[in-house]
Amino acid sequence: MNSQELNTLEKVIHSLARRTSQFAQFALVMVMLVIVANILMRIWWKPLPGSYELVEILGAVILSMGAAYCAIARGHVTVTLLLDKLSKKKQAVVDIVTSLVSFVFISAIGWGLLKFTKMSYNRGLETSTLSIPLYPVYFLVSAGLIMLALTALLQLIKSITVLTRKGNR
Amino acid sequence: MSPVQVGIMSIVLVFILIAMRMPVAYVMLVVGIAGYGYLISAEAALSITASTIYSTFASYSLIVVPLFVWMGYIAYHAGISRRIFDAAYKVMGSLPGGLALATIAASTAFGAICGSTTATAATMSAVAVPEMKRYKYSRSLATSVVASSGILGVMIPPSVIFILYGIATGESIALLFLAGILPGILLMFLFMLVTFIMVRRNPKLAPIGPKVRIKEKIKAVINGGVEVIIIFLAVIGGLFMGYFTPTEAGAVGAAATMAVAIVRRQLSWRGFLDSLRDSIRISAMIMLLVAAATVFGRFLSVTNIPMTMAVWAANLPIHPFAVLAVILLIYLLLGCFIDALALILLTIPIFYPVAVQLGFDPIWFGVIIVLVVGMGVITPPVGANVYVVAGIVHDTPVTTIFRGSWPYLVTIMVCIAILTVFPQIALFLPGLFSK
Repeated sequence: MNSQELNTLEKVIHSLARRTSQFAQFALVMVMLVIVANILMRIWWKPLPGSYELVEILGAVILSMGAAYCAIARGHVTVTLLLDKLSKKKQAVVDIVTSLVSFVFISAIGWGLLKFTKMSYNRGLETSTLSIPLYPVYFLVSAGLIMLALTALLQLIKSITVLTRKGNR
Repeated sequence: MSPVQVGIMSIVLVFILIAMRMPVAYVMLVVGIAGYGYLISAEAALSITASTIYSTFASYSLIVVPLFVWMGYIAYHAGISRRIFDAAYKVMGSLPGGLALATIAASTAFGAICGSTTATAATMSAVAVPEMKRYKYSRSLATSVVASSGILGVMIPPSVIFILYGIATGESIALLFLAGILPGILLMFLFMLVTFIMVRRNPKLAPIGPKVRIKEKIKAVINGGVEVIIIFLAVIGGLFMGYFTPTEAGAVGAAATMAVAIVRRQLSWRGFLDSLRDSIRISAMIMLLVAAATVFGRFLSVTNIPMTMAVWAANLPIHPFAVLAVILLIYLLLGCFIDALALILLTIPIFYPVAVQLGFDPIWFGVIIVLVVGMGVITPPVGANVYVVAGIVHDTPVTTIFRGSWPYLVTIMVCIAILTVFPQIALFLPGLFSK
């Protein structure tokens, strides 16, 4: 992969993560409104029906749509200290190993969640009060994990590029 | 290999992968899945991980984390922290080291509307450090007092770390919140005392600030204090009066802080969007860690390590305080390399059963854990708060901040010692409430 293609891929993944994080932001506002509305309605009238399940679904939106954004914003906790002392090439080798492992495992979890999506679709699982079908929520969390895996894949490709470029010289 | 051996190997592997710059959350997921897969089956490992991630993300009780994080960011972007600092500064500014004392007091007060130590440190570095620069405070004192006082933000409820501890251990979040208040105030006074002594011994550290008339002091306190008191009473008051649950308190807190910011015309549209963006990033970081730690914790419980450790520690022929000291030492050492929050989530499955088995009160242990986080965020080389302060202040190297932080580090240890001898300080308020 040449550097232009790599840049395009990076742009696509980053803008995807940023776009989806806006859904997460919107969901956070909605969570606040639903909970406050529920409290106020409980005091003056009767509780908002299904507020519990709405909050759970919105929580899934917030975190699944936020995880990849957190990764591209370098928000996930890492310990950089020991590796920074190595040469760029050695760092790239280590990064290839860790990002490959991350990619494989996170995609596997995403795939596991896809199986849950299928299962909940087949069984017609839905929330108890509002009867909202659950499979789209499972699918969303699965999509969030797959996007997270894509950020690891991007890191993998970048590290390989670093290594091969250095090797050519 | 026996399950315990697998467990020990996996803990070693965790540290190797963390040292290889892999995100801590990924490490716990990978090792958790691999270990569980090895001991039980790959299919079970994957299925349990997928369902843990789903139930952590779509969790009613955990939604409180993003909400309290957001509350802190709204307060930050709305400049509420500035007025709190202004009040503290007018009251204490004319004392020796007054601005530093004001920073400590303001961090404590800000803690009442903010649940995160780094957010408290970030807020105060933007507000207090420029003032201390203006009055020619030693750079090291000015920055380290801000970085160290960040912990006061999580001792005083609301507190994300108490919430996570409560969820990980099943302890009552409301009681944990109550337990943090008096130790938080104690730590505030200890920090002030240490600062006062340092400045007395070396007045050049902190030149005396301007005198403020009593009328102005009162005005500033009312101006800065009222909104904090309103928000705090609405959130924590409502929680303890039983009007709402801890989760709902998060939403009420964010709504109340936003209402105050809007009434005061302090929150711009840009600031609102920024507060959302920051909250999503931080929440995703925390919650992925929580989910990963849960997966890792499940695997560890299959290996039997937590119970083995707990029984072993309880049967050691030494005093429980000595075991506690060893645990704290481990935290201090590991805290040098791993982010405090990640470390807590990683180790609670192991150390919590040990502490309980040794006869320590679990609520009290939660307070100690928060203090341990306070040490972790200012110890080199990865003290998160130090980097946050350095990132905002720009012109002070991290080494200068680390150097200035050690008196506060020792103070936190003294505070832990006091709480170990007098656990009532932490347990008094929860005791009143649970009767």
